[in-house]
Formats: sequence, structure tokens, C-alpha cells
Amino acid sequence: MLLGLVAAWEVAGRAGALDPLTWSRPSVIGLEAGRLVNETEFIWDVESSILNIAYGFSVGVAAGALVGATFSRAPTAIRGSLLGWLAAVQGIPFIVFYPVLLTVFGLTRMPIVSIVALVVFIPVTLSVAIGLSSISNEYLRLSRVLLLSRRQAILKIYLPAAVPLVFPGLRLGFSLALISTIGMEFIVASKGLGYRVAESYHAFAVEQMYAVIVWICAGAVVVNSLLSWIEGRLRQDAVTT
Amino acid sequence: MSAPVANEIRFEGLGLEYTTKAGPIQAIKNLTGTVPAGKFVSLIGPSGCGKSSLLDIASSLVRPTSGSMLVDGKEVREPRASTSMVFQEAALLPWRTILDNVAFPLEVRGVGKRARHDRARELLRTVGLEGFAEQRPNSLSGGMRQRAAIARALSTEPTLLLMDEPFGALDQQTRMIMCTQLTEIWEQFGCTVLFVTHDIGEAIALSDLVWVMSRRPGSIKREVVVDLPRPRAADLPTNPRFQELEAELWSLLREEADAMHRGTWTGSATKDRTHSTAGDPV
Repeated sequence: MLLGLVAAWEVAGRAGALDPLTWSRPSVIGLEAGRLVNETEFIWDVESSILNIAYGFSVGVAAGALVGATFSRAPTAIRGSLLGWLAAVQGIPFIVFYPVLLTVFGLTRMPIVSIVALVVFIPVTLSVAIGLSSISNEYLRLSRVLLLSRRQAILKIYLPAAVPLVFPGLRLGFSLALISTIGMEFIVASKGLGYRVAESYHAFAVEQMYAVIVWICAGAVVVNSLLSWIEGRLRQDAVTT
Repeated sequence: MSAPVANEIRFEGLGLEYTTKAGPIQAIKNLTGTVPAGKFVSLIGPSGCGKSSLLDIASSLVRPTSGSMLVDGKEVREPRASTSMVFQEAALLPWRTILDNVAFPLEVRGVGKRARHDRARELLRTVGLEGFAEQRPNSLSGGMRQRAAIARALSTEPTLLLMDEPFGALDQQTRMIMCTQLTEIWEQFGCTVLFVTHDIGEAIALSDLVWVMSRRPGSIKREVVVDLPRPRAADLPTNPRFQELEAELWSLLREEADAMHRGTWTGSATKDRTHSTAGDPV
């Protein structure tokens, strides 16, 4: 079906039915996409976006895992209200703080990375906290009966048990990281994939714009598929006792 | 080798009280009894009578609030290396193979890979799971998982084996098969066993001694000796002595259940009730 749409697009474009400045054509886009890969500036944009996402994601995941693990050991009542608060705050479009952070930090990576970290932190914390606290009691009893040391219990039982439960949070976190990064790069940036799209748009370089969009989509699909696959492999071990 | 194959467990004046939102609950009160070394003792009793709590104390997962537990004459308050436990939910680690699960207690003790895998394979053969060593727990049935859990518990050559309704989640037929298998396996090891169950027939078929617990606060209402000769035949339920024991245990349980529900239960107490191992009406 997708191929059909692409084919129709190409035909309509050649026939002159579509305004070239708005729509371009798949064949031209394809060529441009290929050309871009060899262009140094494009590589820098890719690198910039990837670094923004990577830094933000790492900080968000690390902090989220730590805080989530701490929350999961809090008494149920406290944990409930903390998590509820986080879930409510999750709805805030943090990207809205970008201009504020720009004023504070200037046009560096900091504003983007900070917001990405925040936007990843929340779902990961929720995922870890809920996941860890739902690991059954039976594992606790097992680890005590088998005389596991604290370190052994964490490494051999809790960590492997928790990892598959954390993945939904990771996937969501990544999606949000990507959206936020591209979004902020649209708004104000000096490089990055989002910046490139906006710049192409303003310069009427239509094929370039679509080409970059295609690369962004491809990247997102690849990473998401990878995360899903890893999660699938981990989840197949989950048993309902 | 001078190390014992089986422990004698003695509970003296055991008491367990814990506090809940509704106030303090006395789960066990003044419980005294001896589990003879190398014997298979079953624990039956109405729901909530503290059977599982007693097992938690026996494994030192929980400390009694009064009284003590003595293993071979010495008081024990911490989990022991030579006690093993089998839970109702097998609690196998789903991300490991069956072989690695059974070898887990040995791994935790630092036993080398070769040695513990050999031992695990031997145990899997004993419980009849030798073809499943490389499978994951989720491809096994409930009964098979429990067999693996039993193999795991035996890997450390325990002198005391605690079993908390291990067959509770299985269907009737599987349970009957598991009982025969458990007896065969146990006879090879000879450790002391304390076995909690709801099923009277199961208790009789497996044990040398059945402890009937009273309603909460639990203590031992009666110790019934199962004088059926070993090995026990597969057609045990047709044995008249079995039926006598079953009736005796059933009426003991009924006394406790009736006392618990006095005034609230309206079922009729039929004296000529056919033997059913349906257990407690609660």
C-alpha cells in the first residue's frame, strides 16, 4: 500500500498535477537522500542530533532508574502519591521551556539535552518503580532461603527480573527524546536534523527537506524496532507461575 | 561422614504474633511438637490456622515472638544452609534454563560450573526431567515446574525439607502422580520433611505422621500416626486403614472448622459423608 502511494506520488508529480515546490517527487527525493549521505554538513547535523538524543537519553535513563528504584522501596502510600504526581506531570509539554533555557544557557547543547533528559526521566522512573515493586514476593523468599547475599540477590534475581519490565518506559522515553530534539531544533538551532529540515523549508530546497525527513523517519523506525526486538527476546522468558 | 542426613526439629512453646491495621493477630500460640529425624510429617489445618507461618518459622524467614525452634537440640533463629524449601509457586527464574535453575543454589555457594551442572543433571534424572535441561520454565507444565523446584531444593542435599502446599496449584490427577513421585524421590534422600497441605488424602499417602492444627491461634490439636506400611500402594484409597485415618482427620478438621464458623455456617453436618478430599469448606 505504501509503495502504491509512493508510485502515485511519482506519477502525479511528473504529470505536473502536483506543485513541485510543495510536493517534489519520490525519485528526486531518493536521489537527494543518497547525495546527502556524502555531504559533510549533513553528517554533522546527524551527529549533532544523535548526540543531543544520546546525552539526554543516558542522563534520563540513569536518573530514572536510580529514582525509580528508590521509589519502589518506599512504603506503598508514599510511593503511590509520588508516582501519581509524576504521572500527572508527564503531560506537561516540556519543550515549552526551550526558550527559557536558551536565555539561561545560550545556544549550546545544554537546553536541548536538559529537556530531553527530563522528558526521558519521567517514563523511565515510572516504569522502573512500578516494575520493581511488582516483582513477586516469592523471589524475596527464595533469595532468603537460598542464603543469597545482597549483591547476589540484586545481580542474579532482581536485575534480570526488572529489565523486561523497564522496556516500555525506555521505548516511550526514546520516542519522546526524538520528538523533543527535532522539535527544539526546528525552533532555534545552529545544526541538527530538525534545523536542517527547517532550513531547507525556508530556502525552498524542497527535495532536501523531504530527504532529511525520510532519513529521520528511517532512523526512528530502526531504533524502535531494535528496542522492540530486544524487549521481545527478554519478555519471552517471562512466565506466569 | 558424621554429618546427619536428617534433622530432628523441635518446636517448644512457639508463639507468633504480628500487628496489622486491625490490631495484633496471634497466628500461633503455644505450639509444641517434635518432627522426628528422617520422618515425613504433614501439617493440615483450617485456613488461616498458621500452617504457612509455622513453615516460615521453620525456615527462619520469620522469627517467633515467643518460644523457640530447636534443630538437633540447638536453637536456630537464622536461615540454615541445610534447610531447603519448596513453595506453592515454584518460583523458578524464568530467564534461566531448567538446568541453571536447578543448579542455582550450588552456583550461589560457589560450586564450579562443571560440578554443579553434573549434579543438576543427576537431579533432573531423579525427578524425571532429563530431557528438559535446556528448556525455559515457561515451556513446562505446572507439575513439571514443581518437579524442577523440588530438584532445585534437593541440590544442596538438605537435612530438612520444607514444602508449602507445593501441589496446591495443580489439578487432582497431576497431584496424585506427584505424590507417588515425591515419595520415591524422598526415599532416596531420607531427609526430614515438613509438608503443608490442604489435602487429607495427600497427607496420609505421603506421611509417617500428620499434625492437625487447631484454628487460629494455631497449635497442634492432634498428632496422628500413619501406620500404613511403606512402600505405599497406588490403590491406597481403597485400603480400609487409609479410609479410617481419612475419616478421623476429616472429623478433626471439621471440629475446628465448625468452631470457627459457629453461628455463621448453615451447612448440614452429614455423618455418613463419603470420603472426599475436597478439603475445608472455608
